[in-house]
Amino acid sequence: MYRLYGALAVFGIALCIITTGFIIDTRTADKVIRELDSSYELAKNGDIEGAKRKIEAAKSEWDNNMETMLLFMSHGRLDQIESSINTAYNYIKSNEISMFIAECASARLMTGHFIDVEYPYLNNIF
Amino acid sequence: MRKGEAEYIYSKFYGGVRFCRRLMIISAIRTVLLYVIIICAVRMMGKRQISEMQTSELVITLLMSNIASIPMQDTDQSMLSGILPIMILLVCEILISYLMLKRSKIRRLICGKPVIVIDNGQIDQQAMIQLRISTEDLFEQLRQKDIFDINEVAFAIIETNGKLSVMKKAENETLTVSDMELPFEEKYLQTTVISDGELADASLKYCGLNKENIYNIIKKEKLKLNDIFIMTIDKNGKYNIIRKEKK
Repeated sequence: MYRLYGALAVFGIALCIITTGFIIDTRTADKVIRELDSSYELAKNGDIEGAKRKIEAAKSEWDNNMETMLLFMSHGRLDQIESSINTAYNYIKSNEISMFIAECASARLMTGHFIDVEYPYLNNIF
Repeated sequence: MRKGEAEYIYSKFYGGVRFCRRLMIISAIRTVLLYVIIICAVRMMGKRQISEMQTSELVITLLMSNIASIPMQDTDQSMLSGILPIMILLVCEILISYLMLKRSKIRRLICGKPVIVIDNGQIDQQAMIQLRISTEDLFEQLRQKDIFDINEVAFAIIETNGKLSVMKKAENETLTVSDMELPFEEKYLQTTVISDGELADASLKYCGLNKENIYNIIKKEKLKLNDIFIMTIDKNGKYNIIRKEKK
């Protein structure tokens, strides 16, 4: 009977880990996606300073949560997104707007995909 | 090669070596951590896991070993990607084993049922075909039970874990004390009370003895606790001492 209680406790812990990881990842990704979208739109409309602020916010959000996300996700995937966001940030710092827009779109796609594969949909399971 | 180039190449190489060393340290630490986690998981699953395995237990054991090796070798994967599946498997195994205990139908579904392959001295060929066991397999298992003549066997059953249980014919059974109607002394379990100089309190309790009793015996034998490699004793007070070898 003790083993059964132990198993239920382990299950509870596993459920907490899964839920925590899911919440942190989706929340961070959603925020980053919003900032990237805003940055992209502002850059397209010519508001470079606004775009810079937004990409900085996206970078900051990602950097703040990266350490925690590393506990739950593959490091390779996170590194790719971090690399893309940093590249976009560097492009806008050096006023390469067209490159920035392209990189922003790429980062947004990767971040979106990063979250899509977390949901327990059938196509993700199989 | 220019001076700057050589320094650049050296810094890249040295940085790469440091990076690899870091990976190896991480791999080593993860190996130790996962080793501890697997031991805890196997302990939680209980003695069934360590002894004869049923189908579900074999599956769990194989899966756990494969899952644990992934974050050990691939430091790109988070450790939780190894630990979480192990936890889920542990829960599944304990739940399934508990359900099998409570419901015989579930046990039959997962483990199957024992099959009689030799019934009253006759080999059940249909049963052997059903189990996909060849005559060589059957005879090999009989030989492992020290049976070299199939005519000695009354019943043979293939258990759910694949092992063969055998009941010999009465005329081929080993004689027992009660068969010969001889008087006999009741035997008790000899438990290890000292192992490598350390007293085992649980064993003392089982024998209904205390430390004083053991120390008196040791004193009678003119020994010290640290001189003893193994000491076993039963409820009758019959003991056995093996001394440590002198270095």
